[in-house]
Amino acid sequence: MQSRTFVVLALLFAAGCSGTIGGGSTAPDAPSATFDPGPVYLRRLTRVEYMNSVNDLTGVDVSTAAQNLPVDGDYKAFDNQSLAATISTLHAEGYLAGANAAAEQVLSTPALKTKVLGCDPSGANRDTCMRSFITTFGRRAFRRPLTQEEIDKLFALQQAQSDAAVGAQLVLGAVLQSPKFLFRVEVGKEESGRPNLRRLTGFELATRLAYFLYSSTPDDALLDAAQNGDLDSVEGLTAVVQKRMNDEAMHQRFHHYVEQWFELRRLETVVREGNKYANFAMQKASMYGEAFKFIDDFLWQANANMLDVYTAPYGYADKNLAPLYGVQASGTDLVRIDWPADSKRGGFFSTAAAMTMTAPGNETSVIKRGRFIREMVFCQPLPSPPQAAFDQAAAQSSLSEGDAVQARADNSFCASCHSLMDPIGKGLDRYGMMGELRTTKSTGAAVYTEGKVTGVGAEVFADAPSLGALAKQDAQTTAPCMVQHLFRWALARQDNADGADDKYSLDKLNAAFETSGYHFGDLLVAMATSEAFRFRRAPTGQ
Amino acid sequence: MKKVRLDRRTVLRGMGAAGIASLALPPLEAMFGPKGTPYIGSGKNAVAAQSMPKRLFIFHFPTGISTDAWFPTGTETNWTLSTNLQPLSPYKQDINVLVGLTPENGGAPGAGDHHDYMSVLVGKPSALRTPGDNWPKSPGGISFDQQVAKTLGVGRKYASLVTATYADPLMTHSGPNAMVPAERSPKNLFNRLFQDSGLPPDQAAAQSARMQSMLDYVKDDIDSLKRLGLSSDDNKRFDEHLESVRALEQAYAYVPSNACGVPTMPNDPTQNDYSTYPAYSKALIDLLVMAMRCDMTRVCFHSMGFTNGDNRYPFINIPVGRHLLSHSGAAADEAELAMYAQQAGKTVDQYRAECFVKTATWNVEQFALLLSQMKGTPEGNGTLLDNSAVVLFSEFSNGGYHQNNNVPIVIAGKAGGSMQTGRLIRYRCENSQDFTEYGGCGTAAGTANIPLCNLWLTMMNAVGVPTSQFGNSTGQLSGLWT
Repeated sequence: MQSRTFVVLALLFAAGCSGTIGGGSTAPDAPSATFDPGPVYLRRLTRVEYMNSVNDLTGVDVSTAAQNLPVDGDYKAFDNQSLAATISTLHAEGYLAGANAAAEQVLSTPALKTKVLGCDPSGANRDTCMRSFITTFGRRAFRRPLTQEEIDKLFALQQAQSDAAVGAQLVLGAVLQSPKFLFRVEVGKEESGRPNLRRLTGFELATRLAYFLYSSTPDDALLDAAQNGDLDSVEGLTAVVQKRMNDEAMHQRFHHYVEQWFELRRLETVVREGNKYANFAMQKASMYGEAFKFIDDFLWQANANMLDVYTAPYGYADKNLAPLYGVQASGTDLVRIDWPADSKRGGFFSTAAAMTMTAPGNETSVIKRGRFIREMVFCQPLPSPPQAAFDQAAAQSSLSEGDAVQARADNSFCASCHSLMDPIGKGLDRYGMMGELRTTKSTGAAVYTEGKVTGVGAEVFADAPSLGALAKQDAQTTAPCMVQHLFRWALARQDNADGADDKYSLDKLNAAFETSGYHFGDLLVAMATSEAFRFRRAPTGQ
Repeated sequence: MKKVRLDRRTVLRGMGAAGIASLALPPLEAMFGPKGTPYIGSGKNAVAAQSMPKRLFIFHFPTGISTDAWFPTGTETNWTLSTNLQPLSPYKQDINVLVGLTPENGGAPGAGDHHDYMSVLVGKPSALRTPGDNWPKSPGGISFDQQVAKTLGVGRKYASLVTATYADPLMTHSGPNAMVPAERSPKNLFNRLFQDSGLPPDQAAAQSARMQSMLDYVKDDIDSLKRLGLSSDDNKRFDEHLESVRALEQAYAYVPSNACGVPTMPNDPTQNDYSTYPAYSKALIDLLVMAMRCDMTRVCFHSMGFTNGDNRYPFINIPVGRHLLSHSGAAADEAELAMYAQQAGKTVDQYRAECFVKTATWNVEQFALLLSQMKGTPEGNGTLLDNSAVVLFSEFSNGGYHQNNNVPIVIAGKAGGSMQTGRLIRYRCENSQDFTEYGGCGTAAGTANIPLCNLWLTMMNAVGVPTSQFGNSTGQLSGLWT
């Protein structure tokens, strides 16, 4: 193994000097000679990806058995950023618990046993069955066909057990703890004339696609597509991605990205106490439901414009949300509500979810709402408050909220950041702690009725739908912002990292998104077929 | 269908019964002589070989203090406990209060963002950190507790135990971009330490053999991936995986002392029900002390929460999280604070400041609980505390200002040797006669703050990990452990 690797690398470096390998010409879908796809940090399955993958592979939900698996922290809003994906003793213990639970349950549940093993390993059929089980399950778990050596190794592992079921259980347990399952290993293939690049194999691309869209392991159909070479061309890849666009299961799994992109996960930590909020847990569930249903419309409906998520004049309500919106809805199903023009409702910003998650305290905050819009919608990140900001806050602590807002605007030091946040938050002040319309706050002060997005179009707005209209008009900023979020998610790293040619990639994606009329499905295809997605940097510094 | 369990309980017993290491060990204190020296050989040939094992315990509480309520007044030997330190009055002669140490905070002298302090135990900011980057989980190296664990952890069930109440403080790291997550479940910690299946020995032995065969397979797979010729960064992750599997094996192979005893399994806290958190915190601390007593680990880190987390204390009638209490002018909770302040007949600012002080005192109470347990655990000729180096600290001094000059520190324990305790020790700025209690030493040449890493370095040496430099240390602190 060792020597073969060295030979391959030696060939590669030698080829780098002459410019070609074996006289082959550059492939038509290869990037330019100088393109650098950026650093690849080895990706460990995130906690969510791990749970989904085990579930998809075995049919067993290990979220309880492996509940002590550490939660992946957010690196710049996303839980899948590979730079932070370490593995510790607590991880190893969680994987052991998860693997044992899944293996035990598969072998003790006839339906699962049949599904996962595909044959009955008891009796004379044992060896044949085991080999077929190892070959099939191994391919699914490692997301590529196993080598003969790998099959033999797993076969030997179970052979040491007299009881076939125990042997199969060992194979399952071992595979589910293997680094070939827990890490997304990308070796790639040498690319003619591109010594700095590796072209991902069909199986590696299937894996990227599956975790990008499903936060889970590729299904058999995707692996078959890889095996058949369907992913080896841009056209083939496009067709495979397009085929998935109407997959309800994908839409569900994609919510994991959506809840990070739209920061919906902030809702989880919002706690409301007191009689007024007796129904809060139910309301929170409905808020999630509405947000996903609403956003899904713009993600997946044919010919939808993604930017309409900020403006569309309708929403959804059930009996939990109806009182907040002042509409009639008595059931547990979310029904569509079309907002009249003068309702102050429309677009994502007036949803109960958006307004609640940006009011985590005991009163709404123009700062928090402003920051959310500035960062999530416009991708203009704000620095953390410096020490002097707290000095100023302390000096202003006796002021009412209104006076404090004014003081931050009047003081040039405060205003340097707060002018980007507070005026936006003011325009959303008419929405209460759970998005209900109000005219006064808990202090009795009147709400602000006008907002301003400094630096964006006409700037001034009156309510959530008119803020949404500004965001849609400023597509030159807000559409690339959508692209940037997706890029970071798809590649599990930040853009413009360490010499990567991300401007090239992002420009191309932005152009494709704009040309498509901001159709999200076309953006997904553009992402999946981009050079950044299909290639990796050749390994360095072994 | 025969069910097979391959879990910890099975294996614990199995390992012992399988003859892998079938000695039933006596309790720790019985292994050592009257002066804490263990016997080697037997009868007349018994000789004292080494002292009792040394331990390290780091106790963190988040979000800093109000300096006025924390720092005691007086001289080195004649001083008065401050408001915050009152819970330590039974232990005044067991502790030293240190004044004037400053952590490396990622490059911003005197203040910075909450997230800068993830490198407080490392003393080296991340090379990857960029201005405005509030992602801190990548300090530039290993935290000193994990460094110590490499030596003190050999042969233990766990090289170190890292736990947290409320939320993970993200402070312990096994290297750059390699955070060691904190255990937050008392139940899981209990299971990791003490769970036993009660299976008959032969079955248990078979189980442990099966588990080992799985882990051998996993290790072999890691090895094969390392031979693929991927990048050094990739191989670093494979190495981390291998380390984690080895740690797992070490934990399973460990044979507990029969006389060590098994405590009652604690309950996990109810999520978001902060009224259960005192019991939660106590359960974790109890288990850590028990683990040290049984010599299952010699290095513990416990944190009372994340620096800007929502650490609430309703059990002492404080309705607002500690982070919000630290910042005056935090608008979001103003209304509720105002309501409580009014009920108490105080202004909002007065009320907020009082609550912030009270929450610091409550955290010190939890540390006092730890000291009481360690001091109440006899070992050899002394106590567990005598054989440990213990530190209480926070990442900030004045929390509301994100100020880190002169963070609050209390140390205790004699680390198996001696330390003159009962003192208030002030460190002056380097090359200057200034104290650093109120404000920093400045940035002019020759007026540098004394790095907190000097204390970490001193503690590493005190517990038997000889080290000449750690993080941004400039030298050991004199006059502490000898």
